[in-house]
Amino acid sequence: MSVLREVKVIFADEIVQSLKTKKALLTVISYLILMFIGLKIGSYFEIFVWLYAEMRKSFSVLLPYYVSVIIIPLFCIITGYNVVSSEISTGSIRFIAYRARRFSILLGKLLSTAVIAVVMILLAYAIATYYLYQKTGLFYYTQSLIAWAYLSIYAVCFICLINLVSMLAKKVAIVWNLFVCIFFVFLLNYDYIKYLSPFYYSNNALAYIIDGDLSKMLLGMLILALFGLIFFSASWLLIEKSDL
Amino acid sequence: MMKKKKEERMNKARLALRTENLVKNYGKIVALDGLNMNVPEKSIYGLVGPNGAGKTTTMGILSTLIHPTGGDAFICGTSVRKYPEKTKRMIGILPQNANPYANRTAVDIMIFYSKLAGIENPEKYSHALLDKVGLKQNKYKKTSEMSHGMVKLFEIAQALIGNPKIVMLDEPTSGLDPSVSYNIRKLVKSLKKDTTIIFSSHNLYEVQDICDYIGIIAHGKIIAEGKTKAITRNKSLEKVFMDKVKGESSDR
Repeated sequence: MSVLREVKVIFADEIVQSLKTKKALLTVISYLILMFIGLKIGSYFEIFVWLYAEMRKSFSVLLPYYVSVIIIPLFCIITGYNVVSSEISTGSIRFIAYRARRFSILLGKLLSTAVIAVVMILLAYAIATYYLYQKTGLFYYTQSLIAWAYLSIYAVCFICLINLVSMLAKKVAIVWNLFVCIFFVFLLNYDYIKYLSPFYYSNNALAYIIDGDLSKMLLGMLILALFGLIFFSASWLLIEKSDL
Repeated sequence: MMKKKKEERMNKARLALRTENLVKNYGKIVALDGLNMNVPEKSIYGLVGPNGAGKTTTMGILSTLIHPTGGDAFICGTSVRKYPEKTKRMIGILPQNANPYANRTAVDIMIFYSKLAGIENPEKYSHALLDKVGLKQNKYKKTSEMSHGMVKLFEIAQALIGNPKIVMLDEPTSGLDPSVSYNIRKLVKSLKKDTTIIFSSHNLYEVQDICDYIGIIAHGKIIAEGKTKAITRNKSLEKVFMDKVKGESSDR
């Protein structure tokens, strides 16, 4: 069986199971609730944004963006921390690892998590943008779409990171994931090391949305994708080399 | 000389599985220490040994779940180390300490595994296989709602997906009541005509009862191997096992 077919079977099974167990639905609902709370809190700061005419114009794009940047890593930890590591700890991976390549198992599972996250962000963003449009009367279709695309890459990067940390940490994966995320936030305080944190690139999309700087946004997308690739490759190496 | 070599080649060809100086180290712990094992085609091969002797590690290596430190294993003449993807298609395994998905029904999991094995019409195939092992009435139950015996039967069924050339059963009867154990032994015997079975168990009476060949493993090595009758010589396997294992320990 080809890698592609194996990935397709595992991916489809994961999606079906997420829908059947209502995991996907619960994920989307909880995300929307968090987003709404974020918007409510964020609305209080509108007065400050008002001072900057340019930002005021993009407020309906910016507020959901800021809220998403904060809650996406947290959400990836809660929903995706055990996608592969739980299969290893319960031993259920042994039933599939002698049928499919370990690469296919990893890719199939991460892809399904990524697709759910991307759809979830799209839904949340669409609702938030509509909500703010009702409030402010401002609506920016292209900018909202760009923000969503950027946040999707940002989410995939964190899914790969969280999966890697979970595979290394195993039993206390949530704690270690929180620790790693806090560590990356902490890095932002340092002049040179801050470039090693995925959080540093989280706001690059704003360079385009506010200032029209396309190159900075594309660079940010590229770096986040590179981070994701590095985290995925490390997970692959780890699962390939380990005894199951 | 030529004739002898040809004969050797012929013998090897009739083997479903053989290992050559298989070694596995976990840090300083030596789990397998140059294990040489020969399993003839269409037979039931009983792998017995004390706890920690290396039975599960051997099966793990044969099923590509564990990476060997040295040596190699050959399934129908194909190297497990060089062509793991090819050998995977020839085996089925009931691994030890592996739990199937708890919140899914037996038939649902079987369909998923069948799709992964590239089976055409996986739904029909999965139902037929579950019926064959005796789970007709319980196949719509979630595995978490099944008894220990039913789960074992399910695990045997998944090992049979795709008609593998070798089926490895790692302690399939451990913790089961006598009637379920009996049914599993009956099922294993019936599988012999189509496939080669490696059967690991601590119940030496059942090993002596169903196995055509026996390999006794201790300290990561095969210390005795051959036809069941030749190994036991009208004695109980338990007696032979105790003598061999004791002898091996005192030699060390």
